[in-house]
Amino acid sequence: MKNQPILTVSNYTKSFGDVIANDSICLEIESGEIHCLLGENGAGKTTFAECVFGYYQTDCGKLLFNGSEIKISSPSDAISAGIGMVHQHFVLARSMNAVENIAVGIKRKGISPGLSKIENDVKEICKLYDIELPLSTPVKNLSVSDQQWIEIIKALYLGAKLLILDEPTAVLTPQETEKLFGTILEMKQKGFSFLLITHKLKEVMSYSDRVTVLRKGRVIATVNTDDVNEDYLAEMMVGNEISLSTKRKKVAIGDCLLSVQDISAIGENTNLSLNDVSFDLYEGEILGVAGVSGNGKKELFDCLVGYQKINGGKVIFDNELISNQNPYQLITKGIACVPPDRIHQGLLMNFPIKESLMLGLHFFKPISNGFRINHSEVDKFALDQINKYQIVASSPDQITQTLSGGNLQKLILSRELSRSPKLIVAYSPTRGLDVASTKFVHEKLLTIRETGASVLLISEDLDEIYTLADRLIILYRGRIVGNSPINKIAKSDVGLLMAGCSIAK
Amino acid sequence: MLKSDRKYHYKIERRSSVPFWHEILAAILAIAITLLIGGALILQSGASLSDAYSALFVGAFGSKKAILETLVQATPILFTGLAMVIAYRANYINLGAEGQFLFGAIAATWVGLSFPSLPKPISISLQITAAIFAGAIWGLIPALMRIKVGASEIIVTVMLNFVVQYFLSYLVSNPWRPENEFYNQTAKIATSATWPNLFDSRLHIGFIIGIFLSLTVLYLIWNTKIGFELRSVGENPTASKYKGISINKIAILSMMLSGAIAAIGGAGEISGIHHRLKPTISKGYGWTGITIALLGRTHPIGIIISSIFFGGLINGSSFMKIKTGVESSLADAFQGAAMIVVLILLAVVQYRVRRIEVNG
Repeated sequence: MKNQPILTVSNYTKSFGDVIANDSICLEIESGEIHCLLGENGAGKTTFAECVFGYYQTDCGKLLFNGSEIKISSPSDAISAGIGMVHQHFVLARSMNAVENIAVGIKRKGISPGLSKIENDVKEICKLYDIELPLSTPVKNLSVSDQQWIEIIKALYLGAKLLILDEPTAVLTPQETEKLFGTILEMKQKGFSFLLITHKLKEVMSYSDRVTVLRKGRVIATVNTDDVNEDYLAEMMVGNEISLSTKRKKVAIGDCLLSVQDISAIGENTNLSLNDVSFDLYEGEILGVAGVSGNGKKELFDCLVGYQKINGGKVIFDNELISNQNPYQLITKGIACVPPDRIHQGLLMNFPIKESLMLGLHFFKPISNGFRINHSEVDKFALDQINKYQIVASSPDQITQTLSGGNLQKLILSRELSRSPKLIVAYSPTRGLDVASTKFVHEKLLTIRETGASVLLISEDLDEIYTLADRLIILYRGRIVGNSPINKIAKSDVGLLMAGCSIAK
Repeated sequence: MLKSDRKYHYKIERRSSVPFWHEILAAILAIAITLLIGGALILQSGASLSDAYSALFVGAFGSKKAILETLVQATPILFTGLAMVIAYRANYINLGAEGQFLFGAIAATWVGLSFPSLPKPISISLQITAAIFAGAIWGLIPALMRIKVGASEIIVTVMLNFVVQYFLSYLVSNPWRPENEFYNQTAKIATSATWPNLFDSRLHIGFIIGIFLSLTVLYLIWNTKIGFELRSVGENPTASKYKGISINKIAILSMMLSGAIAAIGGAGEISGIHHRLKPTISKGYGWTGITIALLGRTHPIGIIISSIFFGGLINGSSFMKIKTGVESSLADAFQGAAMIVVLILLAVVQYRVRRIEVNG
């Protein structure tokens, strides 16, 4: 006897303005199944999940949960039905602790929140799945992985039978990823079902029962994982054959370009300080910086690009002392930066593209002579970059906000590389980008080396670091805990160092 | 499948970008709706609609004399509207134009009274310089407070208005009131300190200075490096900081310029119109400036157009009262209505109605 599917979605369509994010999506999840929703960035996976969870309202379509049709007009309907979601960007109250966060949203009568009962229940759940979670520490002091456990337990506590996980391993170390999937498999044994949103093929192949591939908002195929392989899935995701490997040309390594010596700094809004961080970077090299969020990558980035004050130590670039110089001076010396949050840290969203392209270049000729802006040069520069980088835009006057993520990143890259910098400090340069744009960025970073320039690649994605970098350093709690050529250290060891463990030498 | 078989439902959703001509349309529509609302008020007061509106128009633009007086009324609000614009582009809300205006008036009076024997060009230059100083300081204070302690400039600028108002009351009732003067006002400033009049009317060079400043601000904001930095900080301070633009310098610069512009307006009102300092110098010009800035879509050309429109409204409504008996406070009602209508239209224009076909 075949069990009823726990979730049946028919014809979910969702549009935002002119953009159709989900187009007549039909999907079925069996009870006790791990069902992966696969697609590249921008395919519509998160939108679909948010529609199922009730955060967005679909234009049309219907949903059956355990065979009965339900109308979901808000997350509370979804939660009452038994659908839980762990979002890509957590929705926790940072000043409250785990128990308090889990208590939020529980419908109960009376005034007392009953925190001690909730705490006991949470302890039970943690024991059941062997989860170690500090229950009384405020969320803002917890690691990303711990925060994710709170989100999962919260969903369980509210009665979820179907858990939607949106890119859960994006910010986890390899070890944390293993632990997460171990627990997911245990929960599956107990009858929970999962909708796992991801773009990581390896995870799909290792853990899922069935896969639905989305491309440009439409379902391309739903298959049994056992019937397919990675290449097949990649082709479904992208729409044509795509080589998953990036070609690396061998480049001669030159002299020391950047020497960071014992720098210390205290993060702007964080309590984290960088302590005695030292490393060298050579011409023609790509140096990767790995580390879990919150362990110093942001502070290091901000220090090297002139956004953050360095309290001690020296930074020497091209034989010149540059510690605490401002971004304008660093740009003149040949340092470019690609910030992690392109929208909030890199672009002028409500202005035309040509003005976003000017930011940082407006100090120099030919864009300005120091006082006056030369508009014809601004237009010329913008047209040049749009052509050179194949940015999809109808004109340089188009408003920046209307571009897709991949094109926005191309804007930033084109701007940063236009002065032929000697050093590019790139932080998560392919975050949120589709496969084609990711390849583009990777290829650009690799070809820069051929001119003798170097790249400091700070990234959350170990696969990306392994694809591009020659060497890598690892940050943990603001200190460097590893420094090695890529080919001499295994990814799993990097994962251990990122988590603060030591490895056998 | 027949067309009538198709099911649609309608959704209201936010636009991703608002086309420029929508904004102009919104401004024009705002003026039209305001006139409609005014029309309702006129009817309510018992006058004939066509008589009232033609009197309004004739009073505003119907003769050379009318036009000149319209421009006189437009002048002070041109300055206060422009002051708001330059701060707004850096994302600072300057509600202190009223106080900065008055402070400029005080500064010009001081020059006019203290240096009565200066030749006219020098006196005027000194008056404007003193006004710039006064306004710049009054703009600097809220900027520093926001930078140092995060205090909202909205609150600080409003508070500083009161400070100047009371200071002015004090000056005209005590130290600057001549011995034998009954009213709370200063002596008249020397004729050599007054600003020249144009076309034999009350219109003074302040209007020309205002137009000139508007065009200068236009050039500054869109054609210079510093103007780009100002707009960049207003749009995205974080991205600007990552690119070496000093947010604090821009904040200080924009607020000081803003205060200075409003203050020059105040100087003009003293030395061009009243020729003495008294408590009723400003008829709420600072506040009208906010409406001007909104209606003019925070653009200098828009400021020029809407200040002339409002000048016409104020001027024309006094003629309208003479001819038809409709209260001239109608002009105030217009102002309020215009503000509300503009704000509503600004919100409405951000959205669109989308028709979605429902299938399955």
